[in-house]
Amino acid sequence: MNKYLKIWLKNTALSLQSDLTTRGSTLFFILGKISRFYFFLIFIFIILGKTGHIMTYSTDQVFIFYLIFNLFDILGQFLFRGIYWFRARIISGDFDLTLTKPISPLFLVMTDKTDFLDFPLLLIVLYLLVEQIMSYSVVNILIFIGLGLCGLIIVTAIHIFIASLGILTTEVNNIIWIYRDLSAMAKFPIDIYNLWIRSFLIFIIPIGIIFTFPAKALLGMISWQSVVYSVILSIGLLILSLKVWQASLKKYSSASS
Amino acid sequence: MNKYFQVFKTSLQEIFTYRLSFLLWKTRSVLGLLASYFTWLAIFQGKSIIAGYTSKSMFAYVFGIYLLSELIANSESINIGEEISSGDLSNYLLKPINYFYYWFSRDLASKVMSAIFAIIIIFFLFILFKPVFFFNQNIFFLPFFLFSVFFAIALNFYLNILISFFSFWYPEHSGWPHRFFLNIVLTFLLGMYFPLDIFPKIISQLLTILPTAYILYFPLQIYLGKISNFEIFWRMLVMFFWTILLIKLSKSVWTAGLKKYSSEGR
Repeated sequence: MNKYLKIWLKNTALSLQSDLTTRGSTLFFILGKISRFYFFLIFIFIILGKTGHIMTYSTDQVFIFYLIFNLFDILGQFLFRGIYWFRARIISGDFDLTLTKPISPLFLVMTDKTDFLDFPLLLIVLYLLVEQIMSYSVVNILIFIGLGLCGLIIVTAIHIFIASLGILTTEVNNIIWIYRDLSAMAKFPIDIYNLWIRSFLIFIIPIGIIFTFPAKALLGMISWQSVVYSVILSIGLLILSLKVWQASLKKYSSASS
Repeated sequence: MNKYFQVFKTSLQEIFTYRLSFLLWKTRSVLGLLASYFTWLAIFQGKSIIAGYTSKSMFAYVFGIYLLSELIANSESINIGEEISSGDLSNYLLKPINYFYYWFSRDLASKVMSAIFAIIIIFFLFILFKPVFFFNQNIFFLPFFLFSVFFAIALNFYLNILISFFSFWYPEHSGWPHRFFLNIVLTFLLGMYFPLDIFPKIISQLLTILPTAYILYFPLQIYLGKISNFEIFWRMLVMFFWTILLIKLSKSVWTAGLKKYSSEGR
């Protein structure tokens, strides 16, 4: 385990060095991400300033949903940005080199790059979230943390599925962006969608469980059945994704090298 | 003219060759449309009018933004920055081809395919969700609407290539960092999140002076019948002014950029 931590820290340090080498570009990316966050926040507050609520959710509650969406969305990118470069590794044959190393290739693929461009926004979101969280009960906060961990496990599993698909089809980029756009559907609570889309976002691609369930837990709006479902699904998906990854590795043909 | 038609044709063929990639890419904007439609549906629950928009006019705006962004704002020319950064631009400079017309032809092919895809998607979404939206029955708006769309395509093209030309001076990361930042700002200024007149009046007036307001927002305001004939007329003049200014500016920046260009990476 210590070996993996060392490698992650080394990769993270290298990512930071790389970002600092191209400071102008880094600034554009960071400004872009922060602008995107605030532009949507302007939208939320302007609309809610005129309506007072969306469905049964008040302005403060919608704000919580938006912050928690951003938190897990950013964490996914911050930790697993390496997946965005996986296709290039496969089609260039560089993945062969990864396979020859005495360390889990999945770990190397997923954590190849830690995205520091998301870090300033992560701090902003955390600051705003901690400010909001203080007014909720300890029990709600603990369930929120638990379901947040389940959400992160599902995010990890989805990234593993995408990496596996990358090996089988060399298609990574479009899939990861579709996942990102599906995620963006959870900027607001998924209750806004009709039954079919809502079911899809809970049972097929569990975006709702990653983003909406933890927020509902914090607001004290979640049932115990949903909590149990989140825990079972997250563990199940992680196990399944690891099995799919192992199966896909057996199909890897090293065609480009 | 014929050679640019050939570029248009080969660009279409390229899209058909990479069908899956095209479909997956376009699926992304459909997800955005769904999110936007259901968000507004939830916002309008129990409300008949918000910021001067009825639910019917807002749904028309949401679907209109989707269709027009595929037809107008969708652009292949965002890749120009990458060509400048990689030095691939040299390939074009050696050929008897106008770089602006070449990319405009490529843009048109992409717009045609994207708009056809968008119309099919809208058709299916209408069958699935049966949204009730405002349909302008006043035929008077149509020539103005089409005229504004025509100019919006030109306006968007020249604005886009101006942003790409920044790569002459800043080629890092294939010209994507500034493109990324400006795309986010543009998404906001184009009115893709929400109509610009939802803002307080002073901010709204400031935003609607900018050229970005004439790319999607203005044609949709004409469609929705939210502006008077007199306002359509003078805003058309402003739009015409911005288009001419951006054409002139992009040509000057292109000339200056070529002096700076060193074909790095070749």
